[in-house]
Amino acid sequence: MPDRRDPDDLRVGKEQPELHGPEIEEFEIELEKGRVHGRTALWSDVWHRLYHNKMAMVGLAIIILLFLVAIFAPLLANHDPLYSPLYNPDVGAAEKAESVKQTPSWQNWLGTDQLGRDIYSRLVYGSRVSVEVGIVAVLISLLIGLFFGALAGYFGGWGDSVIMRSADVFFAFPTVLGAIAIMTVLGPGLINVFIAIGVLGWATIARIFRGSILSVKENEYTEAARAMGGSHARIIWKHIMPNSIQPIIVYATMGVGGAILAEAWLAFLGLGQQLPLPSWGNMLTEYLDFYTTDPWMMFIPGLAIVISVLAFILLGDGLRDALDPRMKGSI
Amino acid sequence: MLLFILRRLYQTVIVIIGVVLLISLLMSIIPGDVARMRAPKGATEEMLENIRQKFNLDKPFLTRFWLYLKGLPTLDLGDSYTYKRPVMDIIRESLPWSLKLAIVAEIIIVIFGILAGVLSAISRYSFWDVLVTISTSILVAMPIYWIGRLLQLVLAQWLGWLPAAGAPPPGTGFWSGITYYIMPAAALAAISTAYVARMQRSSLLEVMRQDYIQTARAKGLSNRRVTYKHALKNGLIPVVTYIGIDFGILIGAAVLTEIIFNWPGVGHKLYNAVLQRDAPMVLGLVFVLVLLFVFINLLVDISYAFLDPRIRLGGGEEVS
Repeated sequence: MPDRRDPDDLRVGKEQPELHGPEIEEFEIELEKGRVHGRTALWSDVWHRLYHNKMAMVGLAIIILLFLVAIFAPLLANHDPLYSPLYNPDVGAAEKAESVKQTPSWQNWLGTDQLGRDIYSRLVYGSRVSVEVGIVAVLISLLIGLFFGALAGYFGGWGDSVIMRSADVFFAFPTVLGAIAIMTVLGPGLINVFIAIGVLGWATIARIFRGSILSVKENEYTEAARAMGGSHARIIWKHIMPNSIQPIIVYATMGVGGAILAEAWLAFLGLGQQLPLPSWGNMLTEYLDFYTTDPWMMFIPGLAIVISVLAFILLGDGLRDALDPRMKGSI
Repeated sequence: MLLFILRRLYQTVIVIIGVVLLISLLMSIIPGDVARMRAPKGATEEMLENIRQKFNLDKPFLTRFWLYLKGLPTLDLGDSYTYKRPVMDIIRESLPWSLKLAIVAEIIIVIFGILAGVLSAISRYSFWDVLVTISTSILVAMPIYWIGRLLQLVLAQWLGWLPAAGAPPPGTGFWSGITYYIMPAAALAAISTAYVARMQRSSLLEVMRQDYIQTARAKGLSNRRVTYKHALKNGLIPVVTYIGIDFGILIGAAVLTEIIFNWPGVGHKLYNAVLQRDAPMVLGLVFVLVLLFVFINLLVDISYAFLDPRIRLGGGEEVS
């Protein structure tokens, strides 16, 4: 009977003792245990390292808060984000004049904007747009990028060349220009923002994933899975994916921050969420105009964007260090 | 070396063909009745038909695709809907302004980015290092047009040191002309400066860990000499490449800064074209800027291969 082994010893490449008959069966059971244990151990190691990274934890806390605000926006907002007293016939002229660009007070926690709308409530509802853009755009990039990256890396050949040359074409577009080109054709609006940012991000993900597939494809465990008659989809999903997904996780995390930022400048170009619906990009763009008279206004959506983007960068940085300690300190 | 250049040229040609196809495709699938949008109110059906004919909008998809595609190699980008002039003429007028701004921005990036990175690396974990790390992280997370507005608020509105916006009017002297460049160039450079500083820091730290630096120390060389004579030279290589590639980020960011500072460059023209839904203008401008970006990347890669023999002798894939 084999000794209880450290899961590390069960990895391919370590010399194993010769086994016979029932011993093989027991060894296989051990191997299975080790594999399962090994995988959970990897993620608990990652979590352990991440947990001790203060900056990453700050990032994670901010992200959780952001998600909670977005989910519970109707409960948190204390005014209608679209209500403007200027368009209310029941409000008198003097009251209308008084209601705009008010500094923070008990009634309007973050003040009111140029149309007398409550800035706090708009900020709370605006978080939904940022979260949606971040998640949906990155998911679109992931879907396209992982599919083509896997196709290129796993099968190689002319398909690989075509996919990677197409990726080169997308790399040739600086993101702002690419987004402008796509949005001009699709027209402004939030759904099109998802599509534009999502489509532009696929090339990087495909390239990263292809690279990591190439590096694990020739490993013995992949060959073993192939020899056992595993289908291509199964081999990619079960064996290659878990071993090459790490850089993708890091990139996707940072990508959410990038997408939030992209929403802000698309709104600035008038291509994002259409007014009067609130998004942080819309709010910042509107309030920029009052920088000479009421500079405090632009700091509210501005800081919200910076803090959220920063949170995703910090978590991404932390994840990279935690997933691959060798990379620590590189940018 | 020749092989490397040829391979890189081949890749560039493929990319340009791809960009041409993609832009032509986008150009020919624009939805909606463009003629009706462009025509003055109360236009007759005949007028609409004229507009459609002038901009080839009456032709089927494939014909439009082919007509646009045919013009691109000779930089015939069609006529702008709003200016009613060839798009290329407008680009010729505005591109020099953008290039001048980008050059000043590159100077700022090189000086401040590298300096901050080196200082941060040699005094690791000091107050300075923490300051650089935190401020670069924040800069990277800021919408660039907000950086521009903040600069205007502080330097023009509060302190009154610099003109708030616009390009130097004709006849302005060199030194007073420079004052118009400082703020837009600084805003344009901000994010890239942050990246360069972070990159320079980690690259120098990486080099300082290598054996030959230990050897240099063991030989009894002073810290200063080891850092500046031995480490910095190699620590600069990735940063220099990045600065070249970064030009693309600058081109993109220029659109946003030129709007804020009312700078008469291509970015500003692009913005107006976006607002006017002037598709030939938007796609033409994007095409020329992307072309510029691709060529600069090609030049950077080739010059990098001259600098670093590892690239041309085998690792060429890494820069592609």
